[in-house]
Amino acid sequence: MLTGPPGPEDFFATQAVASFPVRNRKTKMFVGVRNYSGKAFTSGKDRSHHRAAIIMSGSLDEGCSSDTWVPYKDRPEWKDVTPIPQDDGPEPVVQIAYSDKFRDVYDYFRAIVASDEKSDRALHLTKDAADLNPANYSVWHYRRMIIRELDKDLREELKFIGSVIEEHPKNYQVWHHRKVIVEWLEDPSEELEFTKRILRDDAKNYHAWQHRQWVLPTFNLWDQELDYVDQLIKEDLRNNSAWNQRHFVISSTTGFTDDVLSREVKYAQDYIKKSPSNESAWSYMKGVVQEKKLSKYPGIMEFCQGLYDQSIRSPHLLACMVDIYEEKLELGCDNPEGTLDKALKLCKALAEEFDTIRAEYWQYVSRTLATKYGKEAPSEIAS
Amino acid sequence: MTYTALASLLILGDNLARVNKEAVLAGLRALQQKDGSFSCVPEGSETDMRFVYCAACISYILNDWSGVDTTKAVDYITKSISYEGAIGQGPGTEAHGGPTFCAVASLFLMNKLSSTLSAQQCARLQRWCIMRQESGFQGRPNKPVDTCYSFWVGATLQLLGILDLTDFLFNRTFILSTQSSITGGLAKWIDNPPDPLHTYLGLCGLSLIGEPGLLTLHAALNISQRAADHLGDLHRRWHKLHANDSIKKA
Repeated sequence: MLTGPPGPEDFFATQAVASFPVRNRKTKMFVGVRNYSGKAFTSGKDRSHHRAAIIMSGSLDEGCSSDTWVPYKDRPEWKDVTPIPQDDGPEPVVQIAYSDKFRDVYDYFRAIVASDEKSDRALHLTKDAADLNPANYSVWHYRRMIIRELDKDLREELKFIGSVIEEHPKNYQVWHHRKVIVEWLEDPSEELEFTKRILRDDAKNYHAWQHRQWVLPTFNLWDQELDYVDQLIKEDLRNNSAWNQRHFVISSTTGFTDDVLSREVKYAQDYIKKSPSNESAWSYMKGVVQEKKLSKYPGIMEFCQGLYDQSIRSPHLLACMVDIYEEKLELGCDNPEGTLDKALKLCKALAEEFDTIRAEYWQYVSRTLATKYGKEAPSEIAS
Repeated sequence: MTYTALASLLILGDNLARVNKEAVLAGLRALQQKDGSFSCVPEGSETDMRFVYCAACISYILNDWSGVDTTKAVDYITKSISYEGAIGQGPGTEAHGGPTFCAVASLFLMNKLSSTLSAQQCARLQRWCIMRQESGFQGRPNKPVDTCYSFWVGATLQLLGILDLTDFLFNRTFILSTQSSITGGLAKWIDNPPDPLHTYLGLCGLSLIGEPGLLTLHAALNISQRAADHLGDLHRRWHKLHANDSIKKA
């Protein structure tokens, strides 16, 4: 027996939803039998359910703290509803070991979806269901339909989903819910501060960055973004997400004009000087110059040579120099033999001394260059 | 879920005769967005590279691409190549091992890998992937290594033809170090609780580097080669049936 699906914090951990078939005609919503899968796996990052329950109880309606939990089947106000158990078919395989509470809540959730009930008690039920499995698309979708129908206060909902995201910051469904609520509100005023708060805990949270990258262009909020990114890079120059955001902001606003480009190259180089082993800054410098060609952009080779002369042997430095030499060979340079020789020596140094985990790769690069641009047979160069 | 359901049927040796193919393809058509990406449910969800991959696997398995506008899907993939040379969940997002696999595998399944990426794009992508190895693999620069990227990045490297250039010993040692000595199973990190996702993807990572006792992997579909061979048999059978039907009609 499985105890539950994989945790939501991993790439590609999506919620089990029905494929395409069964839909309730009235609600246009999936009610497929495999639609409502189990509680998110309790992984290292999952905080206690109890705490989640307390936090969630603070907003829209009364909570479901496990101390005072009364099953729906024992609640007099739910007497009129007949729960619908999950149909695992006649011969269930690898059934999920749901808790009694989970089973109870989801049996009632299936019932209200089937009867298309949109009420305050149904809204409350979706909160309990989401609390038990925040990765369930269908629960959030049905909740939104109730909110619409009952014309609920969207600000309250934003507050609520904010608290859920703080508990489950790496869950696709809760971020999507927030996005829809912001769209309905047509008010992004809390979003930059909110994502900033999430990024304070984990500066590389992909979901928070995606949400931010949606908010910025949608509501044209670019003004302070470059300053924010700059501050993040100052705090941690290895924050690759912040470097990516820098590229995103500039591409979306000024573009990489000549002036901007030279400013950005200098920006990256200043950080490379601080830490020559930092791949993020190297990738950024190479990435922004790429179209103008590394070997032709003024100062790049000199910058690399300068570091090299200071006995710096970061793999990223040597790799960048290999790339420049390769480009020169490709574009046709004055001294191809000498250039190839330099490139091959760097590959050898990488393979044998400075990047040995990638020894085979650097030998392969060396062979490829030798075959393409050398006069000698490649077998003599590659060992 | 349709992708994993079809994959499960193939693993179990089913002939897919009871799958309502037309309904599945109609579903795909309803899920593709203007920008070429896919959502996962028609009532609306986030749209990203994961679902492009699912759509590609489904189409490949059913041997029918009429549910996908492949031109648009390829466009979405190329627009999601970041300045780092690898691929994010969508245009402008940070390059990441997961969506990079999804994008590369999708192109592979569409048989458009070599026609889509220029030699330079391919070399940069190879470089980015190969740089992800520290012992096992990380999903992004300056992030810790994690068992699942031995699959996401390892499989991508295999599809790009250069997995053999990575350090198998370091990779293998890392994956096995995340194994729980008490319950068995693999975790994302050493001394973390194991889970099914990391156990499966860790085993896939080991299979890619030829661990004895494991089936070989069909990297793009993320199923065993055994199951993929079964699919190959089905495709040949369908092709024959189709040919016979055409003859009968004529």
